[in-house]
Amino acid sequence: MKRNRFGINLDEGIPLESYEDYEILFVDCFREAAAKLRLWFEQEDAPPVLVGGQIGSGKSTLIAKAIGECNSPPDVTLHFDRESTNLDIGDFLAITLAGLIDMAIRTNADLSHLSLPQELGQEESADWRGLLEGLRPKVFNMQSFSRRTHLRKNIAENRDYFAQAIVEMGKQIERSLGRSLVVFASGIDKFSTKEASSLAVNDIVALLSTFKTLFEVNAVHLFSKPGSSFHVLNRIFVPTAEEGAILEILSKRMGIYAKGLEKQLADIAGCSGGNPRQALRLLSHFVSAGKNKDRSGTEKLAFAIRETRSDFFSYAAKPSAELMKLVKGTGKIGSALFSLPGDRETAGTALYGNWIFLQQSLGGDGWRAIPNPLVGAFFEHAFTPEDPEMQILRRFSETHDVSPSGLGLSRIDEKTGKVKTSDQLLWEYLFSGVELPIHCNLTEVLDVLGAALLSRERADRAIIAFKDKGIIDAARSYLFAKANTFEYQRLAHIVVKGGVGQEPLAEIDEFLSGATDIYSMEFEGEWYAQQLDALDKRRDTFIAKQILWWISLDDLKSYLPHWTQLRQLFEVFVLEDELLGSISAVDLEADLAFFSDLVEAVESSEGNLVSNLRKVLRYLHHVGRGGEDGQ
Amino acid sequence: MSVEEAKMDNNLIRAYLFNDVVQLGFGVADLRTKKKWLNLFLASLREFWGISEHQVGPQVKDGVITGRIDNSHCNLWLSFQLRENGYLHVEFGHLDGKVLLHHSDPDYFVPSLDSILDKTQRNAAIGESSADDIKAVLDTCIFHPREHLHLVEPSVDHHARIGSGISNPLLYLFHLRYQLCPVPQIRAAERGRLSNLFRSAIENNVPIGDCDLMSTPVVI
Repeated sequence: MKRNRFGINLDEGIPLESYEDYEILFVDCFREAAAKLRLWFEQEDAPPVLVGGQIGSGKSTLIAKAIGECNSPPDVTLHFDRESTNLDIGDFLAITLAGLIDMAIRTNADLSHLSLPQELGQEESADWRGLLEGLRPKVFNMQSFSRRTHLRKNIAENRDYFAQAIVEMGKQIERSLGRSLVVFASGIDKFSTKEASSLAVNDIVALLSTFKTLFEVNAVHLFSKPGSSFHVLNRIFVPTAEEGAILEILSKRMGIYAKGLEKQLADIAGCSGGNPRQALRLLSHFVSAGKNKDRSGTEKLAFAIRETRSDFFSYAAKPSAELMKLVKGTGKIGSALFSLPGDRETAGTALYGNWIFLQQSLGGDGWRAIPNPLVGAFFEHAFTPEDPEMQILRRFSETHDVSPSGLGLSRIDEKTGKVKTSDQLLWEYLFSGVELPIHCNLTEVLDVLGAALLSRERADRAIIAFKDKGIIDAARSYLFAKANTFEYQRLAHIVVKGGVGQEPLAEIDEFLSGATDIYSMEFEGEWYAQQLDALDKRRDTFIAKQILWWISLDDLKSYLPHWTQLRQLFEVFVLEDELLGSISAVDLEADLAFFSDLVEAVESSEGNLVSNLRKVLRYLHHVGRGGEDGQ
Repeated sequence: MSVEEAKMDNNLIRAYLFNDVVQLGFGVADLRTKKKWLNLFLASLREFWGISEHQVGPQVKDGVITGRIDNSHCNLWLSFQLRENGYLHVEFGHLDGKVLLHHSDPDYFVPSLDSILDKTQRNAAIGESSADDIKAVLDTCIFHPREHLHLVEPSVDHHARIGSGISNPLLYLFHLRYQLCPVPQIRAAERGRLSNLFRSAIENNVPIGDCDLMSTPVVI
């Protein structure tokens, strides 16, 4: 992603990658964890280690930085969150096998005593490159997909044999290298300990523990029970960041525009709970809210809280109110709660879903913990004076604005007929988005999508839920038209069907392997749980792309509980049937008048814009709303 | 006649340069070219100002081009109208409402250098011009207009000088791009970039392409 050196750099809190990312945006939040990680890389015979933190804690950035700076980077990096389709042991073993074959070829390791290629269908027993291509095809098409699926099935059926073969291969590579093989197992953090796939994850962790392996895991994996392959491993915990560090992250993101926003950024840092990604999502919504000049400072912050909560928690599996109250009341939690069978105390749910944040170990079984400031108060019937949200908003409204009223809510209590207090209004506003994603009309959707869709330099993702399928073609045309206002962007759209007999992930993989700028997908069919779970694990596949998903609201309600990881990367909008009200034919005709004579080629931003605007105009005329004033 | 006496008057040299800056950089005449220019101009602001949002695209109705320039991070919202006859209307809005209206009305006379200057002397004038002359002309056109207003708002840098004597509408809008940019490094680099760009255009006597004009300078 292209970064602005002096100005604003917003995204969903995706891991930093490039030199420019680190130079402009990196803040050293976790010195202790970073030092441990550096030491691990330096020690040649270091045992395998778990590097774990909660979603959005910054572990990927921390690991990437450590790898970039160490003298002995991993020999093999395995991305378990980018290739899985079935989430079974066949997938995990095949990904591992491909990584090791690749390394064996690069190091000329002697694999003559193994005949896996022939056993897996290659003509020659030494055709390791052919086998690698089958396991990890460079070209994606139906044939290569079928071959890969067949291989993985075969491997799953002979899991013990292939597990042993992998160990043999690793040892052979170590002989060739003359030192330990260093493996980075990336993406284990996407697999919750409660899912069916956790058995396969457990097996692959046990297998890779034979080598010097760094496992990127979620905090829940650090609290696995005895008997689990995670339990015996060393661990490095990535805690929540100090508020000062979060403030520095936010300031860097705002660049020159941070000046004068010190108080607002401090308030956002306070709402982040020390989670960098949550802080960045809040900031992104805060900035977006500022485009409406009628919003006061309080309203912008309240908008940011509401939208962020909607993105992360709508329809999410909730922990119990008792647990949340316990954490809030005591400020700590016992780690034994995280590994209770069936997550009886729902602590695992709370931890994996970021309903609570772990701050640091208190020694023994205890951990200092807080409820996520975005949702903590949701478990109360009303705000209490000490609720951080309430304090922040009250302080904010007192210091910045006249009052926290004017938040677009009715100021009269229907039951009592009395004017509501500021606290009541704030409470209502903040929780209006908890149970449902925020409903937006098209103009608002456009506002938020603007920075993403209007620029090829950004790579953002949005889920647009709709109630009325009849309007989405026109809505899509309008969005695509606006995306081409300033620069030509290629758009591709497909319908992806889920359900029995369908291979939606394969379709998505194939679609994403094509070259375009905006990937638009409409979800159809009855996706079942395994397909939805598998998609959730593939979150990081989507990081570098501009993606729009169109999903009916009814379907989305059942999908979101499966998408704890994905929702971190996507913003969710509900496109109400307000298309007709928010776009007037007069405005469209003015747009067309401006751009029509600028079209010099069909494949140009102007050409694409005009073509899509005409579609919307035809739609408006078709439904009889293309009158003089467009009303 | 001595060499000293043959040298052209410095003010005259700068008048030729001034005329060239306006003609080669902002001498757009027809509606279609103006629309293209404005579309690129608005698109350039996001990167130039380092903000997160694109500007709303311009529109045209009955020959009047309208557009908005927003920088919510500085609490500034501008809207403009450019009529076919060159009449320019710009509203500067702040949080509390409209703070300034700028009008440039072509019905009222302003001396036109293009019609006054002896074109046969242009090349001689350009030949005698120095880097300082270009700088002085760009200063008065873009970087530090002689007649200017300050927006007395805490969120707008005092260094923002809103020219009040700029009659070319496109030049007026273009100078706002520089004046309302809060990044000192970009402003400094832009001064160097435009000096080179205009020097080259003037020496070769060719109009400046829209894309070149709207680029963002690279800051080393």
